[in-house]
Amino acid sequence: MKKILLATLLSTFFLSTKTIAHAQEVGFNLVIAPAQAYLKILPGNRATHTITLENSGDETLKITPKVLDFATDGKTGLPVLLGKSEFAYLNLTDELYQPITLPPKGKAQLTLSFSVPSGAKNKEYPLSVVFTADKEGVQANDATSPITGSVASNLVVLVSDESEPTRKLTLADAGAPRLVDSFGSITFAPIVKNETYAATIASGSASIIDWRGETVSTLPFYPDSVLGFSTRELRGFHENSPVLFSYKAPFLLGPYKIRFDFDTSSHEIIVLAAPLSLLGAVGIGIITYLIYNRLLANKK
Amino acid sequence: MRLKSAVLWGIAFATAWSGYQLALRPAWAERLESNSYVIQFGNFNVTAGEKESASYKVTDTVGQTGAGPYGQYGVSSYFIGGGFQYIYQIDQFSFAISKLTIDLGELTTGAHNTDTLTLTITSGGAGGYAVYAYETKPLTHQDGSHTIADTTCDSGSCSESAAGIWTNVNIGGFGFNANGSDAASDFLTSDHFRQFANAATAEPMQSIMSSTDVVEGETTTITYKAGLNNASQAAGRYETATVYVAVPGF
Repeated sequence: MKKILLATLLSTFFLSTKTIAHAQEVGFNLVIAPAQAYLKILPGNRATHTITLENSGDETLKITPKVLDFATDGKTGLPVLLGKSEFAYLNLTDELYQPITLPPKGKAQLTLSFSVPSGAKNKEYPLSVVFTADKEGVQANDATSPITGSVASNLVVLVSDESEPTRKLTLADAGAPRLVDSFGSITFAPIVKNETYAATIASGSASIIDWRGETVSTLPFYPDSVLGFSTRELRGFHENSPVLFSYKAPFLLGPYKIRFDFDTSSHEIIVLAAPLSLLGAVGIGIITYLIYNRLLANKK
Repeated sequence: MRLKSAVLWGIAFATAWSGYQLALRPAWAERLESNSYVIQFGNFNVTAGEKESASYKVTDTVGQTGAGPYGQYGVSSYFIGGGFQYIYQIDQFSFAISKLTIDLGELTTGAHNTDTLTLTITSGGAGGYAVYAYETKPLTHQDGSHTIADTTCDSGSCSESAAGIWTNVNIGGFGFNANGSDAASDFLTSDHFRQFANAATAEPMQSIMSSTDVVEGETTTITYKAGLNNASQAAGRYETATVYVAVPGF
């Protein structure tokens, strides 16, 4: 009897130990800095850029870096990673693409080295350095599917022989309706185009001017970066946060001018406010009255 | 007389509508100004710093005129940090995955098997972030000779970029659901599933989670689901490899 009890206890112990070991799922947590950076290199010069990695998880990770080009989606600041890089000024060394083994809480630095030849064309290169991490020692097997995590650090490299490249943002689309209801709001999402090859920060403001010529609302642009020869939707800057451009008054009426002031240019569009819903209410009232009278007449 | 009454009815409706709208007029923030001055954000710098306890963590700058970044660190010809929340612009970017293996168990006909993991993002930059996902190959049997196609959901129309409802256990396949406030908008419910983009056939990886704002510890739960189409498909254990790529905004 004692032997059976002992055997039962032992088998329960081993089974529960196995279950616990199986349930100990350890994840991945990688921290990078900086998340994005801008680097300007004069032709004929060298430069370096360092990215710091920290393994904040509990497992040793094998991290492999890779440099890819990225493109913009033309609206937000979210990069669209391209599968390769055509950037030719990165010094490719054997160490660059060697996996880095990072223990838990361990830190490492990757330094990229650039060398731009004299006479290189003025151009901007949006790059993402993608760090792909695998749990060291994990092999795909027939029972489970491995998960891999990658984290990117964006680096926009500007090759330019100009000390201060020209800045020129123009309005590509005001993103505003031409007709709004008097009880509604004037809401718009302007898209700007960077006409030059170098990234620039959106600066300036959008103002709304009523039919009397009074400025009823002004909101500065949030300082988002617009990459060279690309477009981006601008946001307003209010109380330290990006906000939508929106103006609400108790009763909007007549023409409103939206003026976009950039560093080097201004653009204006006209939005007409009319009591559309009010006219609709009058119409509904008349129709209701007529239907009511018709029903009353039929009843008689 | 009848026309006059109709117009009066119309005016009554319009009056009621206007009253309703005007009753909802927005509240306006206080702005101190006269013909000769304007005070923007009165500056009484009271306190600033990082405060935390076991249940919260907050940073503040109280009273700072025009707090925030002006220009962008590392790119502008100028950079002014008013207050100290500007440090977020030069902050770190972190990405966590709750576990590094998915176990779908033994697949059998007439049932869907699932497993979940959690993605967590902290993005200090106001440009936000995006997380992309893809599979390296279709879900493959342990014998290496059978595969399960990516799901096309109940309607037969979901894809790697558009989710669809998938609840019918007689419809097999392999797919995933994303559930969280930053999850892609086509995951309308926890029953909406997408295929993983298949890198083996050069399908581009797809964004499954994104934001254009600063986020702190934002999580999305990913639910993997697989099932067999019919009894002719081999039961057993299947595996693939999936990759999540977190990219900060600029």
